[in-house]
Amino acid sequence: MHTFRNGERGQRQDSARVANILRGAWRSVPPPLDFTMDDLQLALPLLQDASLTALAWWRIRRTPLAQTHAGVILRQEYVTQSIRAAAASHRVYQYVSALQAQNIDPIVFKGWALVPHYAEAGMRPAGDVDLAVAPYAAERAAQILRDLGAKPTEMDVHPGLADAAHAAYIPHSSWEEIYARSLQKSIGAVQVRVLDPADELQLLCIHFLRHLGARPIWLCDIAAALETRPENFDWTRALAKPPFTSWIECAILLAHELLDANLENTPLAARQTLPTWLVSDVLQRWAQPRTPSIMVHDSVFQIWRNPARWKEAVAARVPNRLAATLDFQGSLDEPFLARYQARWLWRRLTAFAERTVRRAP
Amino acid sequence: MATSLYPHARREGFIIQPLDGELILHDGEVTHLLNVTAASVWQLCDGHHSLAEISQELALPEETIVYTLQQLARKQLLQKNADAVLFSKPLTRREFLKKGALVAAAIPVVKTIQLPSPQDIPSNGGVCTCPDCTGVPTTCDGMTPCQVGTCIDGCCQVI
Repeated sequence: MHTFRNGERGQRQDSARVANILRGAWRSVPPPLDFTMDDLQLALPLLQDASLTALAWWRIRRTPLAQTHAGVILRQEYVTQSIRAAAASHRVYQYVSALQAQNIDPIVFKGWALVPHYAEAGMRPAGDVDLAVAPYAAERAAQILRDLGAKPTEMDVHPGLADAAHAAYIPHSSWEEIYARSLQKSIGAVQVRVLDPADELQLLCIHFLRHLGARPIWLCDIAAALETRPENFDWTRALAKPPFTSWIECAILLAHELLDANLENTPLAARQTLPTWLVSDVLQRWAQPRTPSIMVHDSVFQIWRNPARWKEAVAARVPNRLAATLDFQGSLDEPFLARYQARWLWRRLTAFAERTVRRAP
Repeated sequence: MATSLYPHARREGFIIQPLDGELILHDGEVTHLLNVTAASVWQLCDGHHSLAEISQELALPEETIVYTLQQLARKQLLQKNADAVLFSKPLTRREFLKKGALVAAAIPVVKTIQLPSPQDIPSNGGVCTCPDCTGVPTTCDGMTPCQVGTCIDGCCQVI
């Protein structure tokens, strides 16, 4: 069981350390070290918790830190993660072959599909395999994979990528358009269909923000995809239309600010519009341990009779600025984002009132 | 030993993945981890390089190459055609270490590894699809706490 440092400031310092360790870690030749053994030691629990050990190993592997106790742990986890990545590749091969045999041509995206953006396949933690198929074929595709023995933790079939209710989606494009732009690619020994690079970067940015920037690896994905984009990368399409333009710009600028993603030759090179609260917000989230506090989520009725807990209960129910802005499809570069929080709060209050009235005898 | 031997690696059905100079070979059930020496030899086993050429290219004694090939063959990582020649006079590890004045780093190692369970891997999280969601699809898998509400059955429930 890891212990995490108390206090918001201490937590933010720890996650800032994690960000510093990850700077450029996806590259074949990562930048020289600018942190100490103590920094690595302090960040280790968070690195392990977020499956970032392989990336951290890659950053330190040619330095004296590789010989330290933390270095030995990172190396072991890097090997384990690499083996898992090989197993994930095999699973992708099986899934894609099985679906293609039934005339379903999936697009593999996120997770495993991002491996080519990293120096080595094992550097990115392999989770479930994300497959997008035509919406009408999604049920059948999921059944084919279940029949193959795929567990729910191993695959995630998405009915297209145009549904705004999902965190991973591409706005202003139909499934047919996304599919027409997708590319056949050989990743390792596996021939798969992947997203067009502009669609991919767009999806990664929107997905990262819709999940409130919860996982550092998602920001590494953005940084790595940005730096390995092809020369003919379509920036006009990648930056989408408002309000998504501000979302995508903010995610990319975050990757630059926290992970040193290279903005050279991008439309964002001269722009500095990243809201400072967003950096702090994301760092705070990276520092949160896995287990959520359940104390603050007690029902209103339970808290009602205990005025000492009212303040805490209200604080827990005020929506996050990022969450509220995204939920109402606001633009992140607007002033007064608090109005989205107020709208969210109002919506929740009315929903609560309606529920209470309905329950009343 | 026949220096005219042209060993051929078995590549079909394997996911071949580099590991900082080493190599992972995975066939869906078994995972082999080849250290730098074993990986270098295996990669040159293309049916075009003779045993002598491999030895020359890697600047390693022929005994090391033979011992590596024997290890690879035992793990069925070579095509069968080389077996008869390779095992006509098999080298034990003890004999090999006695014969070769080797530095430890050049000793070939082929490990076979038990695969870690995919359940141990933190999922990327699913999208909250329950009717009582908080509005923003949030991961609710125990890794990321709900922004609002309590994480119940993968959904952020507002009580």
